Amino acid sequence: MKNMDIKQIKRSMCIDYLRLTASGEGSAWILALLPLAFTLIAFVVDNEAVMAGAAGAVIAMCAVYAAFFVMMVFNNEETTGNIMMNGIVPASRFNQVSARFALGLATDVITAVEGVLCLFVLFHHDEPSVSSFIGLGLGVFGVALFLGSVVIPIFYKFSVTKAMGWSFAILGLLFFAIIFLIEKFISSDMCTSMLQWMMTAKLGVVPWAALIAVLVSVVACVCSFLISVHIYQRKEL
Amino acid sequence: MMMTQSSPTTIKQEIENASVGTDAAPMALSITDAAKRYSSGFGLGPVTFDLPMGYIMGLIGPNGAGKSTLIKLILNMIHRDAGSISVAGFDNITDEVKVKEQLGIVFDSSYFSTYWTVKMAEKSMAAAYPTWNHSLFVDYLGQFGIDTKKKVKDLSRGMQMKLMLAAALSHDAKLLILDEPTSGLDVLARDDLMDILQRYVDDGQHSVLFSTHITSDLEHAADLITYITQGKLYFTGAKDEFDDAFRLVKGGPDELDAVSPVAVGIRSYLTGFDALVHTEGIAELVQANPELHVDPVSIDDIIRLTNGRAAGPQRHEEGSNAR
Repeated sequence: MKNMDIKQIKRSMCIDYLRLTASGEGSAWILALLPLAFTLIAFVVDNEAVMAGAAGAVIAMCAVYAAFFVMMVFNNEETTGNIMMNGIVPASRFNQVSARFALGLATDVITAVEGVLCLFVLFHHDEPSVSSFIGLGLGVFGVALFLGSVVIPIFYKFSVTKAMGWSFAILGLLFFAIIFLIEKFISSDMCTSMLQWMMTAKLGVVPWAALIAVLVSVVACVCSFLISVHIYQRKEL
Repeated sequence: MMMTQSSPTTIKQEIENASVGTDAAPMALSITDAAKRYSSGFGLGPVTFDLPMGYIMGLIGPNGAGKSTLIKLILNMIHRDAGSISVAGFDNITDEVKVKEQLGIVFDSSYFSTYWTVKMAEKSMAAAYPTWNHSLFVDYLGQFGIDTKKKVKDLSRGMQMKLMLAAALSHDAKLLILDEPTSGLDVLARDDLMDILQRYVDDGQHSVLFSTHITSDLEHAADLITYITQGKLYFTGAKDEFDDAFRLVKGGPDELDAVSPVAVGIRSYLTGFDALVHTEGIAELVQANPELHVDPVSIDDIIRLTNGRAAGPQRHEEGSNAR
């Protein structure tokens, strides 16, 4: 951490932001605000089934978006020859990696806030408690952070095309491994009681449950950062 | 000035003694025994040379000689196996950030995202360099005829090179490193570029290292030449010394045997041969073989003949310039 330099991180973050918005700042923000558009449509339709569907879609999109944006940065960097710029920018590789994680964290926070905002609009009639929204926000943040943590080292290690394949394979494997473990070791009664503990009556998430998810994700993120630095410092550009 | 395994001290002395008169000039770039070996078997170095402040050095060699590898080593884009590299007195690994603040880079293809507009490219450079000079950049864009609203992908290859050049020139880089900057440019643009580079080094506080295989560019602009072939440093020193170090000897098939032992490189034809011979051996050679034709040599001749059948610095190590 002694190598961390805020100036260098800012330089690299600014360039990463330009990579993220390479196709236009407007289109990137429209994409980022798509969950809000879903929410507004569902709000206007005002149908319970549509609202429930929109809520699911919004949570999923917000959780996946942060990782997706980081993947976009890697993609735009490599496919346009812009990766060579990393060799000339006055920022150490450690700080370039730090900047990418910082951008990922920023998008995690934005998408988590956006998710909470969307669900508030969708379920404000039910008057859910503030703590359940905090739980939801933390939950979305935790999942987003975890997905980004899985994806980033893979993109540092491989070319974008290979990394896409590896990312989906690893995330798929993780998903099925979790399903398998739940099926194998947790009875349906236990599962139900755990879900009851985690979820509030009005679609919120108990903050403590979400906080555990966040803590797990933070550990994953720290490991991911160290692995990414290790890979990138040995990479030849 | 020919060298294969020279010590850094020797090279520094050579540069100081060179006709360009670089006495006591601080070094913009100093490379000592830098080496890189790839798993493919290709190896560069050990390479040792210095580029003093205020000079333009041409880095020449055929395709695959190791020019781009050397530039990537300077930029710490690839890992060095041995040696040391410093820019303006800063080590390129331990002081990497300070070094990169001193460098202006032009690669042989655009390093700006092709999706970016020229304006976005400037934003990226302004973020990267604390000494970024917006008005200077705009001046260069005007001079080069580059529209700021255009996307990089809509610029021609030549225009993309000019955009990188404008960026490299706009943050007071002490050392410009240009990798094949002229390959996408027409004759007029190449001339303009050489003028810009000469003006850039005029104050004695800036230097330029540019790799090229369009050697006519060097005739006008370069003060110093570093020639790499097959991963080995063949020559480094003043351009005039490089030209004067050799002569082109032409003769018929009957004279080939007489020239072969002293030739650095030979290209044979049905009707005769071209041979590259060290200048100091010429008088004796011509005295013994008056039928031979001796001409001044061009840089292209040197590259052509040192990469032919008899190529390799080992052929003439006993020559006075060889070490």
